[in-house]
Amino acid sequence: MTDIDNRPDRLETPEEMAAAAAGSARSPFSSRKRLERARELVRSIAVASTNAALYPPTHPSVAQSVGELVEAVAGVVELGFEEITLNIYKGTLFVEDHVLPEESATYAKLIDELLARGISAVTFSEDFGTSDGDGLIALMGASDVHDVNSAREFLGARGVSAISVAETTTLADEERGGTTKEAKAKLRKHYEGGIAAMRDVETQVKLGKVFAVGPLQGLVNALLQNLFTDSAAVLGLTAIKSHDDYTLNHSINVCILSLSLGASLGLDEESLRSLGLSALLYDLGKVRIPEVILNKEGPLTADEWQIIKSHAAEGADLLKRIQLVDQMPMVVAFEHHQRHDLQGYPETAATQEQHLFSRIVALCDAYDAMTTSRPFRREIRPDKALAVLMQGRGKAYDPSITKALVAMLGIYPMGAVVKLSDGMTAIVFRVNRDDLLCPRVKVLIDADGRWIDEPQIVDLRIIDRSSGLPVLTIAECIPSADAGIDDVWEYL
Amino acid sequence: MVEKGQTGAEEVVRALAAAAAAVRLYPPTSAIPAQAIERVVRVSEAATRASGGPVRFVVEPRSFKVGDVVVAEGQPQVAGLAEMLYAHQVGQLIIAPQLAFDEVKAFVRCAVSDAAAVREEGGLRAVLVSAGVAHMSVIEMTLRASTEEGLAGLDLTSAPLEGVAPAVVRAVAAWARSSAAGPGEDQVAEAIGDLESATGGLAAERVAQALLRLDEQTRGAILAAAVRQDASGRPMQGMLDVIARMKPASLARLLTLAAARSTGDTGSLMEKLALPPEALRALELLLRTSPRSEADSGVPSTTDAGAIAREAAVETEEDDSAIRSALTTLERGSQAPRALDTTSLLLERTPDIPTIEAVSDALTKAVASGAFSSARAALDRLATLATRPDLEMSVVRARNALAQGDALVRGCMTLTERADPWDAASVLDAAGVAGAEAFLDAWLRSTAEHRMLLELVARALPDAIIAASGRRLRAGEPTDLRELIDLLKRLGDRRAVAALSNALDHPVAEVRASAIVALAELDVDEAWAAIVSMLTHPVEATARAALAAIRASGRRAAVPAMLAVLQMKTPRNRNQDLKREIIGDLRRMGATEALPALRRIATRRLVFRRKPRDLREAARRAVREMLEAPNGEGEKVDK
Repeated sequence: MTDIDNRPDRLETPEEMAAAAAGSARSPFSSRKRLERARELVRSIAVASTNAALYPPTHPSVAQSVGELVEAVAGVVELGFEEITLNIYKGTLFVEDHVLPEESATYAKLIDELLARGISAVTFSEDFGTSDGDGLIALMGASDVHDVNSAREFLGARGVSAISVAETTTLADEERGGTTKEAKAKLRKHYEGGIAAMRDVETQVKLGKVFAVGPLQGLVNALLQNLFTDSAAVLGLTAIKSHDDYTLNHSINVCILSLSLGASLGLDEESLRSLGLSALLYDLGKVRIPEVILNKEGPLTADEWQIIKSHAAEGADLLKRIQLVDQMPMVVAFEHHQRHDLQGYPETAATQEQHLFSRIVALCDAYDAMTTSRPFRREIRPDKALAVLMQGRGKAYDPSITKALVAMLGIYPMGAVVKLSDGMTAIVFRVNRDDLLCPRVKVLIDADGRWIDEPQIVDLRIIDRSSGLPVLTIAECIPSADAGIDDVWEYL
Repeated sequence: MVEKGQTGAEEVVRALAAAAAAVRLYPPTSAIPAQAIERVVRVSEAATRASGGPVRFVVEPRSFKVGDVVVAEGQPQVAGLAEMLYAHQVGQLIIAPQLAFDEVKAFVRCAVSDAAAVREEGGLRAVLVSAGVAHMSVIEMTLRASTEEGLAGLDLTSAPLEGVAPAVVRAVAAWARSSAAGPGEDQVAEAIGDLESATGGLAAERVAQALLRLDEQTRGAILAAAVRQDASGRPMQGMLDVIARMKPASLARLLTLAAARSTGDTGSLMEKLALPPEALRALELLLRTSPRSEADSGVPSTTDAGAIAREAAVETEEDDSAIRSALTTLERGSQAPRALDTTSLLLERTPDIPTIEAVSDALTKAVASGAFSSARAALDRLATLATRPDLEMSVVRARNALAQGDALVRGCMTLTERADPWDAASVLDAAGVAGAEAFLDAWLRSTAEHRMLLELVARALPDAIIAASGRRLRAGEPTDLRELIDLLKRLGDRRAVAALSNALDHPVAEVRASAIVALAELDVDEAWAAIVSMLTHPVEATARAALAAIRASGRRAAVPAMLAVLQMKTPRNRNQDLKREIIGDLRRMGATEALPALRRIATRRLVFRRKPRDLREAARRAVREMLEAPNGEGEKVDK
């Protein structure tokens, strides 16, 4: 057993950690203790590098710092990594995809020295040992290595096998990446197909007929398959908002949000299918509510409010007929307004807590409804909508699942329109799990209101090394219409 | 939007390619070309409606693109059409709304004509214009539209937007200069008006897009200049028409900024734009004041994003534990009771036949998943409706449905420690005979561990289980019956004697032997009576099993029956071994009342065969030991 195994802060085995992180929307360094290990890794590399520059190789300080480096690598590997990469992206330090703002400023010299050797990424494998550490600090001290190939040769000549260096980081790949236009078009087709399928269901129900569940199951399957391959592209579809087809769009968006949240919570595929179908149909009871009440701009009378409240039981009543296919849509339709504290409706004598699916759908329903413009109010900014959900924790919403939703969406979710600190207008392109306040954004409009021909993706985690603060920050989130942006999805 | 209308666009090129092929292959008298052209008209209308305006295709040597996406890829007919148009030096094909049959007909005829001949007539574009084709146009591969300067000199359909934007600014400046002195010079109207309808529409849209390449202040100034009337009272209509083509949100922002600058209102500016009804509606929605404020909806005026991010980013142990616990509720079969509970609540609200049928469906699933508690509650609720004449039959059907299929068996098989055995018993009881039969099936299929749970259920429902077991014990597979006998043995209920007695008639000796053991364990008079009666069973093994049970219990009440066996005459003395055992048992029991009978055997003479000799020897020993015993009779056996 190593010293690390005896540490009091040891949380779980690597296997447990990996399993826990698999479905999670959070960064593997989300806890303070885990982040501390990442920071310790960077610190030990910097110290070893400095000591190597100050003292001869035989000096005890050098040996001690190499020992600390070996221990630091082991400390991170123990968190569930087979290998761990230190990335330098646009002058900012990351351990894997987790930004280290303070270290980016403090260890600027380390960054410069690595970049001077053409190195933007250093990967340590789990069998990293003292000889590898000696090789690395020798490289940092070598004055004749100016490119990554020479660096590789240098390490190879010293028998270093547990370190690999690269000229570019995978973070840059992510920036270039994104969903291809073909894939986007295909997803949009699924989305439009979903709207058509939901319209059919609505029509059939209004006519008092039994509707076919197959097309809806097909839609959920298609969304799930895409979610597993490109979750961001699927989640991005929720940026599609429609005033005319609000009910239909809303149900597809709630379905996508629920599937994404369910997947991040670790639901298995079978459960996700059932959750997806439930999320499509949970509000079906509204077809029995007169539209004049649903879309009423002014305050509702007590009678109207009672009618609105009846949609939950009405929905369950409609869905009781599809129980042989899936029972959960009926349950979720009945429970989705019961609230976490069971103070909602329909009122029942039962004290059973809301089903997990109902809790997920209730949250996603509230979020998408708030962020969509309605006849009686304008859309609410995503960050404010999330604040409302966070305020409702323990009352209307399940506290842990609400946090998981925020962790998944970020404070500024994909598709949110933001004003940056330099006056530019951008759309949140991808959320960074390690820093929910600093997503990657696509800058669309300059500070003077000029639309940029080829929008650039900017990672807001990038640090100004002189101040240790982000180069750009989000000044405020604004409604897309206020920025003059019609279809946010187009830019995701 | 490109992606939105892509499917429709694909349909258009396919239909167009099919029409070209039809025109080429069929004589003019054939109906097929006309049908193909009609289809082009139809799908074009749908595609332009879906995309909200003209659809533009980029013509590649062997394919078409909408935006950057190739459409109808791999379709030979479509590739052929692209090849044909490419030969006409066509770079773009534009199809506008309201395309007419004759226009498509003319287009297709020109497209399939010899490219060189068409070029001699001025090119495909010119030929189409002269044929009156206005809603379908082609852009040939050149960037300049004419030799003129300014907007009129640019090919507005393909020139870079960065190049169009300054030209628009210059055009507006020209309007401002000229309108001050006399009739305004509307270069935008001229440049676009010169183009045929489809191209003109596209050009206007691109000019609208180019406006977005300008800074907001300039855009606002352009709008302000365009609404300013010239000496003849006309605004810069060409520019206003272009502005009207801006997308709703961009236009709404422009109007808001312009209204704020001029301290006017957006409504009066909107009136100056000839907006189509749909665009007008969208714009009004964007510009109207919200009936309900954020505060009305409970939205905070400010948020501490940093605090929320810090809190959400960290998953605490409580979160982890809560989520893990929630996930366990998704285990297989856990949905059924939830659904049944919900359906029962619906039944409470709406007690009607469809809801009873739904309860029936849910009930079967819930029972199959072992959710007997929910099932019992549902059955109780159904029972309250059984007295209603209109629902009575539905309730009966729901209960009967429970008895069909293997739901009850599966339910018993999936019974867990959490389940209340009384609930399970109650549900099985409600299913009648089928309930007990299902229980027995489950018992036979279960492991020893699971049987411990099932035993609790059986104890809560003894009568039905015993009765069902009794019926089975008359016949059936010996292995199964031994398991059922074990169940009855565990129940320890004297009412099981009758059922176990049935097994004593079973043709297989092992079954009878198991029943004897079970009866002996019940240890009640009725059971012993049955066991004792087995001493005279014609199969010696059964009789010996009964004897073994008697022996183990030391039951003296069985002595008369044992003596009766000793006195029995069987053909060829086949029960000699049994008799010898009985003698041994009587000896061990010290049953002195058996002495007369034993003496008779002990004093037999002329015994030649081995077994009778052994029997006599055993009897002699028994008599001797009984007499020698302290409480013996003190007699001596006569030699």
